[in-house]
Amino acid sequence: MKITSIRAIPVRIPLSKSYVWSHGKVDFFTNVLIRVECDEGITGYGESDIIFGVSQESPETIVQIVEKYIAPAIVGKDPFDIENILETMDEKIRGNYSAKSGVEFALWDMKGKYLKQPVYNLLGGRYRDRVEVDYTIGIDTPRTMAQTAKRMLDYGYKTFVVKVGRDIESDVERVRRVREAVGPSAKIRVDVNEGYTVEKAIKAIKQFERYGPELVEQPVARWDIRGMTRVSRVVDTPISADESNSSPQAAFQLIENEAVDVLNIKLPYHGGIWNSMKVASVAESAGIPVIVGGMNHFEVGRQANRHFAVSVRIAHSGYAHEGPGPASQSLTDNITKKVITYDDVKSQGGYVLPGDEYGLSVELDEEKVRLYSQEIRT
Amino acid sequence: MKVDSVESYRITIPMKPENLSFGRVDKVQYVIVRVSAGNIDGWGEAATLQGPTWSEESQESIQSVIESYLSKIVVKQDTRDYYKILWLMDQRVRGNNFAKAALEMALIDAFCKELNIPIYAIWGSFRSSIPLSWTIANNDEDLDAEEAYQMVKRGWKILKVKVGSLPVKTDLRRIKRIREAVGDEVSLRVDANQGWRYDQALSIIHELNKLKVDLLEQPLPKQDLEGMSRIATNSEVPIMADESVTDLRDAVELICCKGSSVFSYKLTKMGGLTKARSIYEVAFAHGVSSYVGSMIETSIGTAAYLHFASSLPEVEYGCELFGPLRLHGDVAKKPVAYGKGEVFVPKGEGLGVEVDQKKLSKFSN
Repeated sequence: MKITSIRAIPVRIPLSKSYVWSHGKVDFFTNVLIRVECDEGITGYGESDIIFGVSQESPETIVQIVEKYIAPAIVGKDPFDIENILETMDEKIRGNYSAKSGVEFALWDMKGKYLKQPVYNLLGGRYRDRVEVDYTIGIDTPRTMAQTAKRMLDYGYKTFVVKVGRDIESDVERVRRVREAVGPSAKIRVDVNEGYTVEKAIKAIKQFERYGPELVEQPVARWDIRGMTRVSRVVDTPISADESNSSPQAAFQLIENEAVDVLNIKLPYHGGIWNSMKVASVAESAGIPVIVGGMNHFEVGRQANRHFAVSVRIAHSGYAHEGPGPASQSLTDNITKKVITYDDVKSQGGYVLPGDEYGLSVELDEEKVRLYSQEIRT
Repeated sequence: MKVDSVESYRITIPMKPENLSFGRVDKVQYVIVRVSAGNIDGWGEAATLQGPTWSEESQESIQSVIESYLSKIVVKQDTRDYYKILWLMDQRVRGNNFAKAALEMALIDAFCKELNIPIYAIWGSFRSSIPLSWTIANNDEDLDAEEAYQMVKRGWKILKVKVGSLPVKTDLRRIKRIREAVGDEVSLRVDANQGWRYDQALSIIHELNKLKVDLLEQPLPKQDLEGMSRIATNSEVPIMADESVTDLRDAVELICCKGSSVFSYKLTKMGGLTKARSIYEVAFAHGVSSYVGSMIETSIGTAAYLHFASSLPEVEYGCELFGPLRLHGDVAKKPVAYGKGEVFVPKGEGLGVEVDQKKLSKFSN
């Protein structure tokens, strides 16, 4: 079996309401759909996902990296040889892990379709048949955030991620109001997205602790590993790393420096499913629970997260996940025929199931792809 | 002066090939940037070794980041506020140092032309020429030894051997042959471009010392600061960081873990003149020595690196700004000037070299 072609199609879908967080405000999600063809007539689909404000990569760079560099390097290879393909990509192309991850997702999709198996069966099978998901509430007035939390409680969500990163007083108010809205039994996670300095983080978290947060995520800048260590020693609440966990080496460093109690894994940061399995193993060996984090994924990326999350034991430590959930925020449309929605979460009591069809179990909606695909000059 | 427009050009120039740890490079791909402010044009350059091979940036990514994101930030700003512009670029665009460096170079060129001063005059000049290293990278012990002999005969006093793609023993043999060919007076350095693992580097370090190698550059992957620190602690040969030091935070980490005693300065990887200078100040204060590296720039980029090198209090290990000598072509009207084993700092306003538009279109891709 041989890879014959790789295409990258940037897709931009608007949100119905601006999403605000510590890194800024977005009104649409743009990701790059990856289409890999092989000589057996099977098409594998992947998605290279980014977050504006966090990623160094952009749709423009991903399209060019995939088509001009990754494609010539791996066309002709057997799509089953993922470890070899990952090494080839890393040898010829430094960094650019989102670009690489979209291609890697597509290879898993292709393998699964060829073997007539869902991807989770190629990753060691399901450890659990479903994944608990959380709901992320973007930065807004404390009142609006509380209303959102209350509304989503009715969909079965039991964990809410409260985005903060403004002044301490209003951030504490955000956490307080959300706690008030969801009651004592729901879990609240506070996500600072690098928004605080070390001193500010310690001060703020001490005040959040009145409202019983399950954990606080990425309180300080991604590079400040020593600062994370200090914060996690001084406060009682577990600390998790997201932006800091940007590579397998970074994961090791975070754990070695005792900077984290929980590790958030975002598949695109590590170059896809296989490398993320390795990161999860590092975490598991250190007894660090794993959260499967989300980006601005469309449904292809979300299915990849679901297959990964059901297979990884250390991802079932009692923490809910964002990546496997339905499209985040107010994304108005998607690129596949079937899409997991809030109603599906509701019917599963706060969980989602991975698709059980072949590969990543996605059927692309070509019309939608055409409608939202973007011209990018290369 | 207010910036009216930013234009970028993609060019490719063939060069005398180098075999590096990640592959063979026989051409360099550039983005040349022009910033127009009133009647002044400022020029900048970012060089890449055939794609995202050395860093994660490629010619294509550099141009698209400039055109889609950075130029919007720069246009209508005053060139005098280049430090503020840098800050704004960092606020809105993560990473992408090569793209930012090319723009900053053009802004500072325009700014200095307006003031009628060479770029080095921002900090002042310590020297008008820099000792120059030549790179030996044939991956063939006979060719390597012969080239080394010829270059030394022509007056070169510093040689750098590229290693890391062949077995360690074969690379060691190449270094031995070069040392035999040039004698003990020539300063010989070895650059692995992240190509070795810790055990490989450890197995060779004492042999390198016996061969009087006076620098080992970037033996390990850039993130492996602990490995660098262990090697540096066990090595009589000083360890130089290149890929490992791209910003001030890297520099601080390396200094704290004693991962290297020499830094290789490159304007592109460090995001421009201003940031490279900040790194230098911190390194200098901690006794870390300096070397000015290169991505094989044309005379445009080389000139910017030379102004930077000219203004440093110490450049203990010289430079490798031989781009114009290694390339089969240039885009400057009058290229940077070389002496025997040294390169001269241009004296005119701004970069002190002018872009030749005809040559720019000749090499465009």
